[in-house]
Amino acid sequence: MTVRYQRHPNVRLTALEGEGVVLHLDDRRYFTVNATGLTLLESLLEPRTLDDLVAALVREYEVQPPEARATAVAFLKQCTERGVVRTLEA
Amino acid sequence: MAVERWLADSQLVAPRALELELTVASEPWSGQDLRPCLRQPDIDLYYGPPDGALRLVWRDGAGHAVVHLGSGAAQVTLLEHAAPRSESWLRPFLLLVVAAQYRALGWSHVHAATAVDPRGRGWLVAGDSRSGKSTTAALLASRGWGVGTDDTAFLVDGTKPVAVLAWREPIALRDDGYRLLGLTGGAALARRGKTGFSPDELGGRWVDRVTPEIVAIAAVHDGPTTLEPLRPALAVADLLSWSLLFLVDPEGAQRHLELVTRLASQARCYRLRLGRDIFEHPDLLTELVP
Repeated sequence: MTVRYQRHPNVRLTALEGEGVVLHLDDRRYFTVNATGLTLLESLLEPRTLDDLVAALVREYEVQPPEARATAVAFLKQCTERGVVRTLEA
Repeated sequence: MAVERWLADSQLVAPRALELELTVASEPWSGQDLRPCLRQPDIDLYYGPPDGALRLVWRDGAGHAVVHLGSGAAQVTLLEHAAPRSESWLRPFLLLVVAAQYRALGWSHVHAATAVDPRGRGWLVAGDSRSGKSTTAALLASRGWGVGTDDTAFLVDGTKPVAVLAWREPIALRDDGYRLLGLTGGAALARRGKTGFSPDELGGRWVDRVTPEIVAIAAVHDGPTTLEPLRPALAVADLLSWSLLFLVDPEGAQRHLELVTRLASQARCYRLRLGRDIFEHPDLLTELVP
């Protein structure tokens, strides 16, 4: 089974000066994310595996895969708990 | 007639006509709307699919409206007992209806004061109803600034840089602001418990349109007045707090977010903490922003 992740369709995102502002229309919450979070959320517009996200971070930043994986896992955990990202199992 | 005069007094000229149908009824709206509801202090707003229209229900039962966000057309119903007392529903209820209509024009409402300083720089000062916007607007007018509005501003989509239009109405001061400014006169705004002034009464002038170079997120506090640089992303988050109407327009939410982002990108953003020292040093804001 491959687990994919995707931004919730009711989440809106905007970027400025390397940061992101995230708006969740369902619960009317908004918050900011740093550049790494912005990269991940932009990527999550389409369904992505954890490996896809790790590759995106390695591509974008000078970071080793284990560190990128740890970052992506932690970010996904926060975002799924907040309903910003949903899990698609197929 | 009261509505026509009120709309004309606002000095906001829409680029195309928006239909506003006003009906007086003997019975309050008794329907049910099962869609998501955004509760505001006096008004419930129902929104979203299937039709996307916004329904505003004034909780004291005196008014009800449906705004079609795509076309901007609105149907408003007032109860017989409320209709003759226009001061009771024009600003408290109809202003929100009209602000929702303006979304069809790409205009996004934000609770903010707008002003132009003596050097010609546009300011937008956002904050809640106790953030000092009105008192600051009056103070700035007394120093010769142009003032657009002390509370009701509309960001205009499609302008580069982002322009802000003002809903013209008197700067509305509470008693404490009135006393701090040492003012006399003014027009009693009985329903709001405030006193109204036009900028020209205070030594300033009206400005209809401001292109903000400075965005300040305001709050009053006990210490001295400070103006600290604010990361644009945080300014966007704060501006979203003071422009809630986009939440009831899911289709237009991304557009609003991008509009606010462009505004924060074009301006220098600050966190403004207003202290009482500003009344002793009324030119402090221009001194703090070189």
